[in-house]
Amino acid sequence: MSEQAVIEFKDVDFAFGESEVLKNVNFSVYRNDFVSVVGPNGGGKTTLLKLMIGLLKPKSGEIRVFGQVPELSRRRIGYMPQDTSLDPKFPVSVLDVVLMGCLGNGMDFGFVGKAKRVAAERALDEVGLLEMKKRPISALSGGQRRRLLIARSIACDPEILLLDEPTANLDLLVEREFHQILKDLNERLTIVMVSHDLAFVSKSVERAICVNRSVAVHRTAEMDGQLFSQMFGREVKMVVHDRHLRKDE
Amino acid sequence: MQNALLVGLLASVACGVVGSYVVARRITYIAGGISHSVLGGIGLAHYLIVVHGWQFLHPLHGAVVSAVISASIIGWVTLRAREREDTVIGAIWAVGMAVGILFIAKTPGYNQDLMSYLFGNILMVTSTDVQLVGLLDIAVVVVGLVFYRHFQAVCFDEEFARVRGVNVEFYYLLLLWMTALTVVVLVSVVGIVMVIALITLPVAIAGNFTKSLWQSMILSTVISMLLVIAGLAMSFGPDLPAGATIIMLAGGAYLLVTLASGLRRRGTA
Repeated sequence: MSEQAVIEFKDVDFAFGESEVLKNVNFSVYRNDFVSVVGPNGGGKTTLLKLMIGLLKPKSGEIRVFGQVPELSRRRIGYMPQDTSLDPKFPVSVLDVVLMGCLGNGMDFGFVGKAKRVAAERALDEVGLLEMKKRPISALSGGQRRRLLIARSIACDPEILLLDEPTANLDLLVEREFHQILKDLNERLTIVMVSHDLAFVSKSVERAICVNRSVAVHRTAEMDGQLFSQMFGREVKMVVHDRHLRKDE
Repeated sequence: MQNALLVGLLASVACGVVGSYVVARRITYIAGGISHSVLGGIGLAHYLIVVHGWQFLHPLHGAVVSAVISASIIGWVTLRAREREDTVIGAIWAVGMAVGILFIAKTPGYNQDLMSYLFGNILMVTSTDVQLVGLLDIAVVVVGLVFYRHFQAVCFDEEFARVRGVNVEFYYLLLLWMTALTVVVLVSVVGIVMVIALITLPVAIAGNFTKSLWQSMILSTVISMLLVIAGLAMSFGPDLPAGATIIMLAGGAYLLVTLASGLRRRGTA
């Protein structure tokens, strides 16, 4: 196994029961990479992330994160799941959600220590939500909730950040803010992001892991309409925009 | 009356702590299944005491055993085969009641106890009951507070808690066992049939005013205590069942608060 790769998949197969999801997956992610995972719905993108973090185990093959099985490296990984399963009315404050990201580091019983509070507030500051730390999560907008989940995933000071569709259903301006946050985080973290936003992928990400049961890794500069057609199994027309919105538009 | 008030106030603490987790985790139906299965343990203990002379036993001991067994079975099924959860809860609910009724039917002597366990008779509690409830309360409160962060994480986002190394299965079962103990505590206050109302209604009322689980625990405990005191006071004169009076007050308070919240939201919209 390469010493420089932080995530390595070798001949990995995965199935839910009899239903095969991933077949013969081979790829590596290197330190400080910003990699996107793209593909059609049901192609195995979320499954790939969950295999990386050890929530799922492969049927065969080998997965290494920092040279170890994923379960042993979990404390070095930040994870942001899809937003859809969380209850926005749950009685919990913004700060308390971020503090969940510090669970497992030291004592977790009874009151929270000062070091964890400081780490949680630093994470909130990084995503621009520090002033909302005492508000309940029901007071947050959709975009703010996504930023909160990023703060939770970086509170433990990880080295890899795994994000599952972080910008789904966000408007253009909020999405742009989000992408800037991720670019800033990429200066110190390796990022693997599942995304349907092919425009962002093609402009801002160096490499894309294309998943549709099998996996192929491409440099985004090489990706064209034919490649997307093969990946999605249908004709895809690619239109290149090279225009930026002015502030007054 | 002094014992009745003490049991009611002690039970309110368990209600507030565990009820907040039950409502947050949305396991009210599970709590209902556990509460009805308790009759099986009570019936068996009663039968063993009267027929076999096991005087060291108390019906609440049987209640604790059956509640914990029911919680364990339901928890195991939920963790292994969630699609069967509803069926198993329904089965435990009904079979538990049936076992209790059968044992009580085979126990010679006057069976007014059956009615008091089903509908509560807080005025009949003894100092032994107060001590038992006190011990159960201490267990529930200590566990609920020491493991607060873990329970909060498991209730809010189970998958993320697992990623952070929290043993989700263990804390889920622990929560069900705490629910089981709380149900036993409440049986003597409002009875098996109405336990669910006292676990959930004070928390539902508090939810209109609180923003966190710990705030919900404190406020719902206070609300539950007020309901118990008011229920005992209002039922004493006209000789009404105290448990049912407490639940009627809880239901009325919940309705008023919900209507007021709705009107306030319309007013600010």
